Amino acid sequence: MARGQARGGGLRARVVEWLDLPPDLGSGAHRLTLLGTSRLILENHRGIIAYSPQCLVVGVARGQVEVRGEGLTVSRVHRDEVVVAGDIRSISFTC
Amino acid sequence: MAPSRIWRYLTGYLEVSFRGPLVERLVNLAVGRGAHLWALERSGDRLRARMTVSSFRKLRPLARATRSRVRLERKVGLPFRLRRLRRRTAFWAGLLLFLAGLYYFTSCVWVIEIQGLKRIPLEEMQALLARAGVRPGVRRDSVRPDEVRRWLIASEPAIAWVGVSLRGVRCLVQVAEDEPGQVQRWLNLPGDLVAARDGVLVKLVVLAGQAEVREGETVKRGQVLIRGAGYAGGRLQPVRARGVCLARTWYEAYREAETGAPRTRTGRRYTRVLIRLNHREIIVWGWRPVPFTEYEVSEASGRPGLWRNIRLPVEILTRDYWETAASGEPVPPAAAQADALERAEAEVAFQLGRGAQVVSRRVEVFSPRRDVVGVRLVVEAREDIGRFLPYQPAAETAGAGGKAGNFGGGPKPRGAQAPVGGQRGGPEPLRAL
Repeated sequence: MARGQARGGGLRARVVEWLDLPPDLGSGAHRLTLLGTSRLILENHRGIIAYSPQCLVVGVARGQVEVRGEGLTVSRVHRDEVVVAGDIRSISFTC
Repeated sequence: MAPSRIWRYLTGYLEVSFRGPLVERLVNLAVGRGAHLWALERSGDRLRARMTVSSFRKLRPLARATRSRVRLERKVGLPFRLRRLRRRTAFWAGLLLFLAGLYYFTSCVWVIEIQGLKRIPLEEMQALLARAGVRPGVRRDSVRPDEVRRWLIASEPAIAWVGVSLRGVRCLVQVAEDEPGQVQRWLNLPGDLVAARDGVLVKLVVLAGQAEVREGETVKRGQVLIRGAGYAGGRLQPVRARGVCLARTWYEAYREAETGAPRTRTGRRYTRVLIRLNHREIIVWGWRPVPFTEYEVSEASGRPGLWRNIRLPVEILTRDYWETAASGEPVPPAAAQADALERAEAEVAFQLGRGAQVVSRRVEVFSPRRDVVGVRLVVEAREDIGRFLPYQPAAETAGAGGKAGNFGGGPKPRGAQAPVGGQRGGPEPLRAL
């Protein structure tokens, strides 16, 4: 999927693929880092779409990432990074 | 790296709550403009978040566009705390008063500690000190320890020695009282007369004790001349050795002086830059041979240090060759010789013992190197080389009136029929002179 995404991207993505670099560098693809079940770091996001303590929806390059759980808080919002804390139950991706 | 809690506290941050249908959008817009938000928490229809003051300024104009209501809940951090304090004039006045008070009260003497009193009553000592200007509450800089010392010794004859020192708000007075009969006791301490320096004994007059050497004998520094042993009540007892030990002694000094013309730098210089690596030198600059015939060398080295004592094994040297030339008149040999002799005389005079009488002097002149004259001065003197060495340190015997136990390693009182002149190990070290 990452390969297809890169092929669909511009020159930058093609260079990244040719040099065997991590694909998220070129295409702006999102990257999720889950630490246990209490912390999620989401890089390359496109903004928070909806937020409640039970559900957080974050926009990414080609779709949305939905995080479900209990007592979710956004412990940090940055231009290219969202850090979610709380009791994370599920993560799903829709495009 | 995300800023730490401490940093956030130091820079200060705001706790803000939003209300409205598009709060998520408001957050996204603000973040897009470089705002920095953290600890977002939904409670009911409100969204609470923390942000820096500059982020709040970016966010505020966006609120109307997203039809959100923004409320500033709390200001947290050091800057806000200080701002609140700034208005409290009484607080600052109090702080200033406190510091001024602290400064004033620590510049006074509050405690006077007196040590070492034996017979002088404490009240009397305190009264004396008060008259010398040392009493609780007095300013530190008004107490001059040296003057107080001298005043105390002068006004109280029972004080043999006194030390006065200021330590913070404490004034420490250490007293040593005069003890009657102490000097007498000290004079009667048992002990030997030993040689203060090497020499040939000329005259030996024993007043108390037993002679260990004969006239004409060569003695070494520290050797026992008169042993402190004498008969009292039919038994050999330790006594204080007394006598005259006149000896010929020699003093020697060697000094040099230059006779050639003094050399000065002409100002011409040849510089060479080298790299020294493990005692090997590599010339970086200045490969030509040194273009002067007479020169001085001075060196400056820079050694790149990485951190504290960790240094690179490479050293960069700058070696300057300064041309020198003779300047002025050459020193006449006679003047140089006189100069060297004068300094040799001074050295001998420094070494000469008190009461030493110079019998003869001999001057030898050398020429150790080109343009150098060397003078050796040998002086023969006649002096009393006997020095008293007590068997025990004076402090121990002073109180108890002289214990007769330790005989300084000499013959025991019992077996003292044998002549006391047995040669012992080596010369004893001179403990007291």
